[in-house]
Amino acid sequence: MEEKSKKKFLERETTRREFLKLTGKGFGGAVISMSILSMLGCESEQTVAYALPSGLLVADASRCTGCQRCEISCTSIHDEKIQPFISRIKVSENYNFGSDGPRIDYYRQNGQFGNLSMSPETCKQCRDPYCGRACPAGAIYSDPKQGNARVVDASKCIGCGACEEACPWHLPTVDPETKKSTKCVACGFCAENCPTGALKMIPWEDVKKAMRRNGYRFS
Amino acid sequence: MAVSYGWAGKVLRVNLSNGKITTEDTGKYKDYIGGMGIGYKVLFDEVPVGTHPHDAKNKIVFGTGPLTGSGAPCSSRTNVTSLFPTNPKHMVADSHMGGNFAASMKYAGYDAIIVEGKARGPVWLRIEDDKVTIEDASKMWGQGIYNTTALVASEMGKEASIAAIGQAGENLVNLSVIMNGYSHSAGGHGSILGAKKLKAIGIIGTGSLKIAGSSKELLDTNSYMLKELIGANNNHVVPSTPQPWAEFDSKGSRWTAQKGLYWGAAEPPVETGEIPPGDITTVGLRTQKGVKDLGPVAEKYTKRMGGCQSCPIRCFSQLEMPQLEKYGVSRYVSNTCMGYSAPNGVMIKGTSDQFEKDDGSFIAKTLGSQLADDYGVWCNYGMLGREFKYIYESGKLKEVLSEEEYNSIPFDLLEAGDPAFLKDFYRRITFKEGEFSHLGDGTYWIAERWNLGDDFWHGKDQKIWSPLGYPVHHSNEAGAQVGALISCMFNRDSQSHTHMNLIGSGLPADILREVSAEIWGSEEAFDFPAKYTPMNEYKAKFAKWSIIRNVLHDSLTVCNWMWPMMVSPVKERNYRGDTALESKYMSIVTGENYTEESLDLAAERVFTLHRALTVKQMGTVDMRNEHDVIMDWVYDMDPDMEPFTEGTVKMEREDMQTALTMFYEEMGWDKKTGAPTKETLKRLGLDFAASELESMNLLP
Amino acid sequence: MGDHMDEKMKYMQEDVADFIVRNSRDGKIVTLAEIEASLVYGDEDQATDISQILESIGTDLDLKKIDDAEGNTFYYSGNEMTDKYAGIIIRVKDKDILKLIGDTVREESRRYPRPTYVTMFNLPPYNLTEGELTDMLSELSNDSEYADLKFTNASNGTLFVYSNKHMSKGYADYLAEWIEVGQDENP
Repeated sequence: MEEKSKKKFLERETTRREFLKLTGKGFGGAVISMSILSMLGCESEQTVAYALPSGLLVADASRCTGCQRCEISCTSIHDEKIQPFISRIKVSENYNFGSDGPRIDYYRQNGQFGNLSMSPETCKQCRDPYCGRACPAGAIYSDPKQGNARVVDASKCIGCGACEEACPWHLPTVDPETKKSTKCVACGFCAENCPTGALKMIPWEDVKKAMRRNGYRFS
Repeated sequence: MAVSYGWAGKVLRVNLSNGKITTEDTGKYKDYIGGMGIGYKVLFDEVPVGTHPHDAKNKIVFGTGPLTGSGAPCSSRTNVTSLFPTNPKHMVADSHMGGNFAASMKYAGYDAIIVEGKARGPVWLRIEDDKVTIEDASKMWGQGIYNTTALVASEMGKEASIAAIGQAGENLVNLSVIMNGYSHSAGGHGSILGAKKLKAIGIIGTGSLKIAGSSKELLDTNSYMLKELIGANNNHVVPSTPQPWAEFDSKGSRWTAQKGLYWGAAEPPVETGEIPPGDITTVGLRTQKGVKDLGPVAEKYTKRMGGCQSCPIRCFSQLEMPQLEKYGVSRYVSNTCMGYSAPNGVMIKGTSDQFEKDDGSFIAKTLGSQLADDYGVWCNYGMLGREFKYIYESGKLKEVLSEEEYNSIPFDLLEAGDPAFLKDFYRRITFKEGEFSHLGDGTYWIAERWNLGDDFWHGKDQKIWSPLGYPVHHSNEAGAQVGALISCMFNRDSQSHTHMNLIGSGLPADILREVSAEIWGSEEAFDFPAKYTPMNEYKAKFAKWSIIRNVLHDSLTVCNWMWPMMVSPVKERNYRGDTALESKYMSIVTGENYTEESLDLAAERVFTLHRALTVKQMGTVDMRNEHDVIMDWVYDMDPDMEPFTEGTVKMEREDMQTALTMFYEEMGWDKKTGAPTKETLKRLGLDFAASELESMNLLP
Repeated sequence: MGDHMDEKMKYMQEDVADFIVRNSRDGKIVTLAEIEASLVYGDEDQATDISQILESIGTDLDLKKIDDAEGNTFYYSGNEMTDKYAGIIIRVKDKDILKLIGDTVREESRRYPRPTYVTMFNLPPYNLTEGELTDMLSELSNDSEYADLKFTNASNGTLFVYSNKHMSKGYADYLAEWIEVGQDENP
């Protein structure tokens, strides 16, 4: 085998193994390599991807137009009501002035009143989650049935808000109506309902097809 | 309190004269659905005839409805109702804004906010769920809308949704707006807040909108609408270029997505690509409005599209144009349609290239958008530019301005096509500098002040539709008598897009005629463009339906630029839409059994209440001759052509009177005068209006 | 080994379908040879009957065939591409351009009704170069077969062509102006 094609083969082999590992074990802070992402047409440096049980969740803030349908979808499916405040993905709170809020030079900062960049914030499903560590009731746990997503056990939650405080992005939110914390369970429903693919759910089957098209073999 | 589904359940009432803040049950407004319906009811009941819009006795109603914030697509519209300053008799009218504001009102727990009285000094209204306070706005007074918004947010928190007025509203310029979210403006009501000394309203809503049905039903309906029914902006349902998947295409379609077309200033650039129906996750790429509104030069400056909460159709282009900083405005621009074209219309001598080839009107549109939006100036749907053109070119301006003032205006910039002229133009209007600034009073008032005659009122170039001082807005050029009738029925330019969305959908006429037959009973309801036929009853039905749905949408509230879903982009549906979709959403969200008919009836009630209020405010039943009047140019245009011949949208006087008669009959109004009859008022449950009009001797 | 073959068949079916679908979406119709060439599985033996695969995937993607004048067969997915579009591609391949323009203009004048902006023929699937278009339009004006096709300009200079069998000059003038100027002035 020539040196060049050997190297190419090895790269392929690594990517193939990475793929099989992702699809087999679910996620938990797993980083998706650019070699997989570029095959799916994701070339933005802003792109981040998370492996979920049903596929690859790709987030690209430059495609977010601030429509907030993710928040609507999230709370309709999980809470049987529409309540952006407790959405597990946050867009509206950063809509006008970005995550840092209005500053003296707001017209240059993130946000609709600034540089027009939206700041969607999604749960990172941290390997060692701040929210879980902070919970005095031990209500946040890793659920193997949901691809090891960190989820809230509502029966244990005391609504103290420690998780919200502890999370660097303040993503878990205590629902003022139920007094229970709400937190992302990595279901991907927001992505399935994002009208510009700023959040995109790519089923594993499609990832596999794209890889095969690029000469990867799985049999 | 029992759980309220759809409706938040409460109306907030704020009296700025005595500082009283109260809430009341929304239940009493339920027959009027919400939004516009609540607005008319409050104005009818509570604002005395003859009140000046800027008087403390005038009230302003920010209305939402049961679908606002429900997640139904395109459902964050705020309907603003108050007396209308540009109208000669200050009759009631609505203005509307999208953005996040309406949805935030609902999550904070309010279906409507009624503001009454007048504060002693500048104030702003702070709403955090149940906690409502009136705050000092002295440090915001004098600021533009952008700074004001930032100041309110710095006190309330970044998540606040904020509506504000600019200096134009403060200075009681009739042509002024209320705005939220950088570019979503309600035109014509800014000075009402200015007169009340209310600079802004900030809202944080942490609560929920509760739905009666299961979320699955709601989500299935969303999915159905987004996959099978929705098109692009204005619900255009065919792409603008030939594409493999599409049987039809139309150059004028706002479905501009195509291969090789980008959001060019995104990092990295985002290709719109072709966006066939059926995939929820690409719908938002369908409308590249930057190139549509601003020309091909805009592509590389387009960062992304934007728009309102809950709407998958992103019809506002969001641009980064660094050179704008040379004019002292932000390089970041957001707007759509008239927000761009109105300032370009002020450049009455055309525009010249500024920084690159063919960028003159692009600069005028984006610069003008920044200026007008921060000052909060309205354009009366493009009239502002046409009025300026008339007085400048007719020499009237020289006559009414002092020599000193005339010479102080940089007409050299105007003549050179330099958009920098706009800075001077909008400043004068905003700060009421000199006689020139009366352009901001509105059509009727400048005609009175400057003694503009028939030539002005009836000339084709001004496009004035009505003696009430408002212009064409999808009128005779849109469906012949249908558009013409619609344009006669309100107290400002008509806001109905129902008919226009069908006419402009991009489908061939044979399909549109079939759809018309299915909805209004005969293909004859739909005329081929500029190939008009005399009036018939089906056109009257089409006109009525268009208005009723428009009123329904502003009451629910959903966007009438997108709704109703008359047609679809899906071939397998034979391009048929679903006009029952509003009622499907209403039934799921409220848990009550709504049908198309029951909603249309409620909207007919709202629209008839508007008519009754108009009769009351005008003090005459003779709507036909006092209100529903069209300027002569509509009948006299194209002197070489007869009405009803191919290639003209000219109307015929007698035929238009027939049209009014048929329309009145459809509405159950008096055939002769066009005023609502006692029977009709009673049929619609508007007995209170019937008695009041009777006591004023205003029943036909 | 049998399992291996079954699996290979399965993913070849998937990949063939995928290839046709992607091309149709991209506005392209494909030949058997192109389909075959697209199947690259490293160094593995490729001897498989493509037409057998085509038969087995037909209904899922609404597989359609169309022949050009020389009898070459092309494939596309009816889910992704209309017959009209495929038909235009073939007529362009067959150099049947003059008649294609004539038929298109007449149909648009009759059905929408609207005059046709001539630069539409520069766009896919027509793909005429500017030179070709100019030649075609002058040929059109000189051919008695197309005597009903007339031209009109909107005030912004855009050239339109229409059939006077289906619309009068005044009507075509109005519609051209509406499409180019009026529509934008009435947003």
